[in-house]
Amino acid sequence: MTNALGSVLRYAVFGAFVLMVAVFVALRPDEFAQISTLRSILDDAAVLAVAAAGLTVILAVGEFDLSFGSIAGFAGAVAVYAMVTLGIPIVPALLLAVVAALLAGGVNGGLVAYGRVPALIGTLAVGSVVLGLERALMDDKTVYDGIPRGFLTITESELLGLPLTVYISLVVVAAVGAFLSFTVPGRRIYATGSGEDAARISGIRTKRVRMMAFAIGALCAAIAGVLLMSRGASYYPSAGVGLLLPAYSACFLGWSAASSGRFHPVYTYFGVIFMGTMATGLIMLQVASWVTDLVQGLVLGIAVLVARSVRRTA
Amino acid sequence: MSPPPALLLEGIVKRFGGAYALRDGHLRVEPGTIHGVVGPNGAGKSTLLRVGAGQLLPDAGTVAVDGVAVTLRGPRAALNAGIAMMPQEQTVVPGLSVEENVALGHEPSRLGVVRRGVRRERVRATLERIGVAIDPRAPVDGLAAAEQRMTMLARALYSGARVLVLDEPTAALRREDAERLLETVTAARDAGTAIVYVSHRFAEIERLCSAVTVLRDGATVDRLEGDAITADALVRAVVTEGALDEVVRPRSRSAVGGASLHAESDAVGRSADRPVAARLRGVTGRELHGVDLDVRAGEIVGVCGLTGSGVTELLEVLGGVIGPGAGNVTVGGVARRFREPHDALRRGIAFLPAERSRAGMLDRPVRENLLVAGMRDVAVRGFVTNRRERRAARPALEALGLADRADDPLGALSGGNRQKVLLGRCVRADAQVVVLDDPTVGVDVAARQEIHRTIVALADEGRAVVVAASEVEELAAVADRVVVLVRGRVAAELSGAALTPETLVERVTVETARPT
Repeated sequence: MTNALGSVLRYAVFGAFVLMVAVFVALRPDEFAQISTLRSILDDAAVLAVAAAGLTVILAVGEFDLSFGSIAGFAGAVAVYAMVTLGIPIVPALLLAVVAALLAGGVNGGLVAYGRVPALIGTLAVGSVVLGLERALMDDKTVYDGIPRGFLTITESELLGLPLTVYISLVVVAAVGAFLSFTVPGRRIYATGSGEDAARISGIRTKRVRMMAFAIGALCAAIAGVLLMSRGASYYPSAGVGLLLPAYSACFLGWSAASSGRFHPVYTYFGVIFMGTMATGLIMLQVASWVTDLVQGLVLGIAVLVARSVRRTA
Repeated sequence: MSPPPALLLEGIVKRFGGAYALRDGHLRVEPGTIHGVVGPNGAGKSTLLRVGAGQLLPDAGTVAVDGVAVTLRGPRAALNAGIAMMPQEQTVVPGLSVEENVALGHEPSRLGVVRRGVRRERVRATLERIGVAIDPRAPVDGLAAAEQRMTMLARALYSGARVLVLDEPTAALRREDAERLLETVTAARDAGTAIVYVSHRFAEIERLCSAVTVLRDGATVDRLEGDAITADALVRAVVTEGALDEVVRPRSRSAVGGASLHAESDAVGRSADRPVAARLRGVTGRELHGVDLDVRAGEIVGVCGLTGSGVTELLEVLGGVIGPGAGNVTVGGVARRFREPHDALRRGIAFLPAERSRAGMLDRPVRENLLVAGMRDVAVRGFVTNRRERRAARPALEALGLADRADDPLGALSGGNRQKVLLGRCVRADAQVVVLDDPTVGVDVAARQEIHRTIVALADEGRAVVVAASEVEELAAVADRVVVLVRGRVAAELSGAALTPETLVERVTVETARPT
């Protein structure tokens, strides 16, 4: 591949994003080119952005996680159960949800880092167990009644015309991003991800580092789960499972746009927005819903393919 | 007219990245003979053989099989051309029977169904041809190491190979097992197979081979035939005076230190007064069977031995990469058993493995590779920025002459420069004991000298250095004393005037040959 072509392709994902927005604006100027569209894209993306930020950390350490969706749902369920059934105030209920998620993340990390269980299988097992616990806890029933008003205001409040959820997602993305880029543990996560043996020989306790990555992933999942329940003003069974695949799409789409070739929450956020924008635009074009599946799959596959080939020649 | 050579490699050139693994490789193997290949590690033996076995495509040069020029794209193509390779590490597939292992990938079949009866007969015939009495139905898991190697040998022959490449087939075997394998190799030759035989055990070469190719620094430099092949001649061919000039002689150690008055005996006497930096007692492991070793501050201790003698394992135990089976390492007066490199580093022991890809993060910037071990002085209240990293890395990188490479990925540097960065990491980690496994493997002459100077400088600063090297010249030149490991024990120790490449090779050969 020539250098000129390579440098064009390097920004292909951004180019595709700009092109896509331009097409939507041209075809639906009255609908798409509105502040309200931007607002709804950001709002809709918020929960996924938080979950995907956590997944980014796990991918950065070189691992995989199939359980974070279930952990998100589990954490949300724990919060709702604590508030509604046990009558616990909001803040302790949220802390309880975080603790529950961290326990699940700890089991993930323990299995994978210390038990040397392949991450794919270990987190699949934990995800299944956690989903089972969630259903046992909530008896497979949707809960609308008795959720405290204060819990709902977390996502209903607005600031400067944007929902508070958007700010929360931005804070999480910024915090996790800064953690990975600018702190010693963050750098150890990247070091472990780029070569575990090398990192270990350099004196990094890679098991601990991987454990930490799973814990951060679970923490983000807990926040995402709570936001999910608050936004929906209800608990419904298996709510978090739907986060799983879109989060992977976002991480890899963002990765293919990242010049550094690393997973990073800010790029993952771009991936979330890319997919959200595409979904919103396609809906406005009133295409059949299978088109959305098809186009999303094609974009993801091509983006990762291009990023791979560009980086191989670099 | 004599028949064309079974395998002919001419003018083979192979580069990895920018570095030459092979500059000018030649190999001519006559049909039905055993052909030895010798040379120091890093000379390009493996590269040449892998080119011959289709695992690597050469950048230049020709490969001919039975007098016909071929381009071998992959091991499968080589097999079709009649060349099979048995790599050093290759093992049997556990869980399968001997016949399943031997016929693997070449099962006789009809409509995709394996014809078990035909397979058994063919496998039995192959085993008989090389005089191996193993039941084809036996599970391989229960076989002894030597029998597993024989099974691998039979696999190579089963596919009908007329040229068989053996990379140190006896390296991990005990003496009597090695003998049995050698009989098998001889039987295969008598059945008409040409065999390329790589070994550091010169006695085996002397006995088996009718011709020997000598490689050095990526080029074929000599070919010995018939009676000219003696263990002495092989040592001389591999250990040349030229190679000795390339490395820092022990005399220059004191010169580096500023005083040239130290005779060797003084140097030894001097180090005997120094405090012990690390003391190993009764260390055992997979290959180690009770090693005692004292390493003193300011001393360079070489460790030398054949593959399987436990050299790498000893270094890894010291560096905390693997925990010892038994025994301990005493540092600072306390006996310890490291379980992680982190534990060893905290006690001031830094380790660099032989494979640089294992030690360095090739896709990460140089500065990060340098600093990763200890970030305390880089981080401010737990926060690191690229700018702080650059500032912290600058002095060390300037000293290495790599100041302008701070932001490049480590993988973009040459092998020598990579190693310098990784050595810089050990220095920065403030280790009192630096453990280096073959630090100059695959490194060019200039970088090798610099690495040697660095090692000497580390010792002159009062650090202890433990170094293993596959080239005995290097050990003889750099180390104050060398311990020879044989079958997991310290079998001999050489220092002072007794420490020469020739005596080292001799000690290793003699001690290894000594019956247990």
